[in-house]
Amino acid sequence: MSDLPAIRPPILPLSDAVLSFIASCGSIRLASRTAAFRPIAARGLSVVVADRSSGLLRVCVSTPGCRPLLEAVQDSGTLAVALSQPLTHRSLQIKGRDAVLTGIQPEDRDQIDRLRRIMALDLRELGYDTSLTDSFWKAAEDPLTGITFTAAALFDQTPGPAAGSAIDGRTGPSLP
Amino acid sequence: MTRIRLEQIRDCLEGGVPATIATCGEDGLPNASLLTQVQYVDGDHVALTYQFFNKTRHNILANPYAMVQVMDPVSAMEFRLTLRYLRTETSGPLFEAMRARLAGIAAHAHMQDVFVLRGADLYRVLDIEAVDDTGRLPCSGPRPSLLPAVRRICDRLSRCPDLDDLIDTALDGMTGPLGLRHVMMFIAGGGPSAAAPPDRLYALSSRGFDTSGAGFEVGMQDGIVGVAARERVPIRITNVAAEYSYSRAAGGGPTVLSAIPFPGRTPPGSQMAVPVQCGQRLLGVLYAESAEEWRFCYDDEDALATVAAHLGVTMALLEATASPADPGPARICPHGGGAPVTVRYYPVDDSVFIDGDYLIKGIAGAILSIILRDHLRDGRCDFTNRELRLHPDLRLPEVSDNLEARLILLQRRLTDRSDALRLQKTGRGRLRLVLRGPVTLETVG
Repeated sequence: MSDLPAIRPPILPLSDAVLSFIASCGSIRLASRTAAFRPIAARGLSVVVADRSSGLLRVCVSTPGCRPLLEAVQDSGTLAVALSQPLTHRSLQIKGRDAVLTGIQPEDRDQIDRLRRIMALDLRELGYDTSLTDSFWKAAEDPLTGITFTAAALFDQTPGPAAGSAIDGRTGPSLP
Repeated sequence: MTRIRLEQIRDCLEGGVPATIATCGEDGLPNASLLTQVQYVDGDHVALTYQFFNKTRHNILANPYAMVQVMDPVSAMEFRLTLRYLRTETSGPLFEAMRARLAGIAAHAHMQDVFVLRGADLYRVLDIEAVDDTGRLPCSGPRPSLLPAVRRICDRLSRCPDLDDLIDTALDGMTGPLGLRHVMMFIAGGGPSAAAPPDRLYALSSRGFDTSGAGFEVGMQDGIVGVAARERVPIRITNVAAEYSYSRAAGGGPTVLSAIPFPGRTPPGSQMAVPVQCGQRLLGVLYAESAEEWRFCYDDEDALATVAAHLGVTMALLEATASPADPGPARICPHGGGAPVTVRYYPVDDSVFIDGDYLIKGIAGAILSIILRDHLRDGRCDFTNRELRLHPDLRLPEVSDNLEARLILLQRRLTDRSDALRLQKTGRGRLRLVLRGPVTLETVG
C-alpha cells in the first residue's frame, strides 16, 4: 500500500447532489487497465468521500476478489467507477488518473452496511431472491482494500443516447 | 487449474444480473459500464449488444480488448471473461436472436424506448477466471441433464409411420420428457397458392392451450415464430416482450394473417421458437411459451433445437418414402341422418364456411371443396392422398407439396369448429368423409 500521491490533478468540485447520488448507489462497477492497456473489470463495495476539499474519493473492494484490478491500479494509477441505482437506472461514472491502494477506515464499513440495506430493498422490489444479495455481500467480509483517487472527470451514464456525456460536478446524472 | 468452459457458466449470461464491461481507450483511461446482454454464441465466442455510440464503443474500436464480469443469478458467483472484439453484425440470425432477447430485457426493465439494438458485437473469449473471494454460496449444482429426454424423444420420432403421428410424438415429447407446458407446431406454407415459396407459417397442432389454435397463421416478419423461421435461428426471450407475442392481450404485437386467433390468453413471460429444417429447407417451427419469466435457459434451447433437427430430417424422410395408396373400390356412404349442412366455398382465396362459420382458407379449403364436390357428384366418401396430390384443381407443386400437413390442418380445424363434417384417417394415405347430415356445397364468385 502506498501513501497518497504527492502530485494531484485539478480538483473537480463535487456538489451535494453528486455526493448524495454516490452515497445512494449500491451497484458499483470498476475498471482499470494494465501497463499494456488491457482493461480489468471488478465490483466495488462502497464509495466514500476521503477528503471533500481535495476531491478525494475512496473505493472499498474485496482484496481476494479484485486482485487483477488492484495490480492494474498499481501499474497504471487509473480507475473508472460506474455507479447506478437499479430502480431508476440513473448512472454516473467517475474517472481518476492518480489512484493508489490505501487502507480502509471505519466509515467504509459503515457505508458498506448502509448499501447492503439499500440494495436488499431495491433488489427485493426488482424481484431478486434475498439469497442472491446475501451471497453477494459475503464478498464484503475481510480482507478489504481501499483505492483512493481524485475525481478528475464525471460522466452521465444513464442509459440512452446521452450516455457518456461529461458533466461538471454540480449536477447529478439524468433520468432515462 | 482446469480451464473454465463457457458452457459451464451460461446461466451467468441469461441477463438476470447486468454484467460489467471494462474497456480502455487510446488515452489510457479505462471505462466501466453495465451490460444488458451477453449472448452465448459458441464455446469460444460471445456477442454483446451495441446500442449507442458511447465510450465503450469508441474504446473497443480503438483497442479491441475488453473484460466482462458476469454473475450467476442464483449463487452470486462471479466470473471474469477476457475478450477480443472481432466484428459487428447488423442483420442476420445472431442479430435477430439478440434483438428479440433485448426486447424482453428492455420490457422487464421498463426501458423499451431506450434499449434498441444497433448491432451485435462478436468477441472471441480469450480466458475465463472465477472471482476468488470469500464466503459466497456454492453454485446450486448442475441441473439434471436433458440429454436422456432428448434421446427418448428422438427414438420415438424415428419410429413414427406418418406425419400425423410424428407431430403428435414431437409435441408429446416436449410436454412430457422436456417438461414444457404450452407448445405448438407450425408448418411453413406458401399461402393461397400451393406452388409459392413459403411466406407464412400456420399452426398445425398444440398442447397446453385452451384451444388447439390449428390454422392460426403468421408471416415471416411477424413475432417470434416468424423471425425464427425467416432467420433460421432459435429465438429465446426470457421476459415479456409484447412485440414478439401473439397473445391478443399483448397489444402492439405482430400482425397475424388469419381469422383464427392465437390460443394463448396473456402475453407469455418466456417464449422460445426453433426452426425445423431439412438442410436449408424450412419445414416449420417448434414453439414453446410459459407464464413464468426466465423459464427457458440455454439448455432448453439446445434440447429443443436437437429435437427440431431430428424432427426435420424425419419429416423429409417420411415425405420422400410415402408409398402412394391406390384407390380402393368406390364406396357410397350415407350421411348420419342429422340436420342439413351448408358449406360455402369462395374460390378467390379458397376459404370455406360451414353453416356461416369460418373454417379454413388456402390449400386446405380447396381440398375440402374438392372432396365435397366429388362426394356430391358420385356419393363416394373414401379418398386417397395420391388422388388429391394428382388432382388438377389443386395445382400442387411436384416436389414438397406439404399435402399431408394440409390434411392434418383440415382434420384439426374440422374437429375444432364443426360437428357437421369429419375427415377420418382410415389407413396410410387414406381418409374418409363422415357427414352428420345431407350437405349442400355453394360456390360463391
